[in-house]
Amino acid sequence: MPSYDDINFRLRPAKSIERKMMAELLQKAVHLHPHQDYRYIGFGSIFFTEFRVLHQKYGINDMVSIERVFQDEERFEFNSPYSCIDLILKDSKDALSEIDWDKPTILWLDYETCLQESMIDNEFQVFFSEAPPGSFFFTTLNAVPDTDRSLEEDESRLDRLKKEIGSDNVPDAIDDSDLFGNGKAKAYRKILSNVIDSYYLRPRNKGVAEEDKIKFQQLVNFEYEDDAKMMTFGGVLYSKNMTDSIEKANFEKFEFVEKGSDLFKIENPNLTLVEARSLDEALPDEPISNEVPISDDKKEMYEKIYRYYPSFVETEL
Amino acid sequence: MSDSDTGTFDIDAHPVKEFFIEIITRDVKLIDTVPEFVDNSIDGATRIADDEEDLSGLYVRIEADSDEITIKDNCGGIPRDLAENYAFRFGRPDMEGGDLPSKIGKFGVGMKRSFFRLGDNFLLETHYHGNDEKYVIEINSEEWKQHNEWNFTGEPLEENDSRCTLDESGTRIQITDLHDSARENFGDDLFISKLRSHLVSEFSMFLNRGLEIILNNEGLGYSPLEMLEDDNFKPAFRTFNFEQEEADIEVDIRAGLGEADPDKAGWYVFCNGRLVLEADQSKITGWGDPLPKYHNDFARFRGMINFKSSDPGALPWNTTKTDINPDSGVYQRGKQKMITVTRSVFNFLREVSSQKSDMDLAQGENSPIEQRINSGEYIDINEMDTSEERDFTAPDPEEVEEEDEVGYINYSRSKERIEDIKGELGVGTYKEVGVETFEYFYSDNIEE
Repeated sequence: MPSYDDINFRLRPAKSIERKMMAELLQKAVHLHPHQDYRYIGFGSIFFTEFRVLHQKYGINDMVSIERVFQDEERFEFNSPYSCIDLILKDSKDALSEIDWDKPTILWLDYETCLQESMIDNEFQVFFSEAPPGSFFFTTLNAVPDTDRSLEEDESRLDRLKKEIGSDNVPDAIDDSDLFGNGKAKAYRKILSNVIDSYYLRPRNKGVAEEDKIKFQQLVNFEYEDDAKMMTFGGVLYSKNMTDSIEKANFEKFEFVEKGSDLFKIENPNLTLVEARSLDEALPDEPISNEVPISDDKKEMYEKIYRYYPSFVETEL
Repeated sequence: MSDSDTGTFDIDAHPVKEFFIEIITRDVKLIDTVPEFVDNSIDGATRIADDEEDLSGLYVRIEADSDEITIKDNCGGIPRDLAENYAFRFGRPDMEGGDLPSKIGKFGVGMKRSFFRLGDNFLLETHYHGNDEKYVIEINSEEWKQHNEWNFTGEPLEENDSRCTLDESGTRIQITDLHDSARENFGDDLFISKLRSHLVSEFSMFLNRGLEIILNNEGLGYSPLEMLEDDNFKPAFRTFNFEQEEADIEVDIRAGLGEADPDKAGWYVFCNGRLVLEADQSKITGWGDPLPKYHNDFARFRGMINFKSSDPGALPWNTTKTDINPDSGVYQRGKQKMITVTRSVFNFLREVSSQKSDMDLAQGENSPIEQRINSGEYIDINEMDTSEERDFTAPDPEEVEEEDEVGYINYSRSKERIEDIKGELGVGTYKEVGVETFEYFYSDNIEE
């Protein structure tokens, strides 16, 4: 059963925070190209949440939703909120190779599964070989560490990882002991940064004039958990002659932007509306001293994400 | 020589000729020796042709049997200073300024290596078109090994010399005293026919430009690599320029559909027009990593990439011109583009195949899209429209099926009942059961 039959995606608080952060980040894309010049490619499912945001906020009107559950074609079409969304009913690896990479693209491969070799060989490869500078890449992956029970006899976590993503794609520096807890998310980041540089960008930049060489700047490295531990990795492709624009975009001013190996954890402190409001009054200055009767930990969690905190209201439309 | 002042002393590291010959000939297959001489002739041909793309009137004539191998051309000959200072050096000395005298003779080792691989006696007669100078170089490898010098000796040719055989400008190379393996193979008709098809593929681009290559009195036919290009189908065409300090490399990539043939499917990789990999389906061209491995669905895939540069040393081939150096930067960038174009052709071919299996057609029957592929126009890849870069395009198999006036019915019923009808109708196949029952219903209920 597809997951959209399972959960109402709008009710996943961490995901909703992540989405708002991404939307804020993408506001800065305008320093690289006007928003209207971008194409957005994502998995719209039946909710099309990002599509709504990017169309409403930034006027992006070239949008592609990839969906591989072909049987529900009518349902996807019925739910598609705008006429500017092109639906491709194919596996993402086939769908992406049909795209003309003729304009800057925001790609969000929001998977539910863990990292797979075929993503490295197909989806990621296509994007990083073809997408023009100024394009954004994001991928969300399941980063739940393997439990002893999920492993075969005599199989280590490293063995499993190598099996899933191909041993050639696992950097030597990753050890079995790195793969516990949030180690898998960290390992994924390392793997992705490595393959992006070595497999995709290095060949692409061979024999290219210095100012046209393409680099990847990591911007997000989220970890969050609504029901399963997930990670979102992503960033921006740019050429050397865009360096000024990248500086102007000043992505690092967002607290959630992470250029290195640290994970930015999106944690939901699960507050009542009253608690949240009361903390808001002290923010952005000093939330810990606030008298709301919750632990300091929760206050700190809230401080990191309060601007993106979801407020769900039951309503009849 | 030692230096008593500083106490340093010299250590002898001179190459031993036997060892040197052993090393340079070790990895050369017999079949790859003759093409090296042809390369030499082609270098001459491109030097004298007004237009590199038109080599008509020029020929390379190869005679090979168990006694001797002769390669004779009318491709302008070799200027004496080139022979003196360049062509016979082992390795290419740096040339200062000007055009390099060679486009495919890359490493300065091919011709000599091939000679040492084949036999003991080597004769090169040349008549240079520039100044009508004629000279001959004779080498006996056993004698050469004996003396310490690394030189060969050339001598001017007089008209009455028996070694003076060329009646127009060109070069003749004759190798005699063949080694056992060469004697055995070049005396074997099957080996000669293998050599023939080898030459046909390796030099197809030059044959296409009008160069005549004749092996044992029979000219090689040009057999073009063809791709489907008509109103419905267009092969992909990509090109890029690889910039580097010495000489840029121009890369040309074409990919599309050919006839379904597992032996011909794959990538054809050329360097300066010389075929290096033929119908390659290996990892070096991306099959199996990151693309899927070969599968019969892909039997129609054809791809061609040509790396062109005025400096053959910049091209991504190995010294025997039989393989690609995967570490070469230009190859890595080219491969990335090859993978991109391959994907779109593969996607299409997979759709064709999965649609066909859904239709459940009889053996040998073609789906509507296959009919269009089969009846399309196949053109020589060298004649392809290259006015602008483009992606591979093909009609959507689903739409073609919808446009088709014929529909396909596919259903299942219990075998027992089908067998009953088979008996009743007196037909032999399930398909006939389907067709007959359909016709029966139609004539009874619709047609009246």
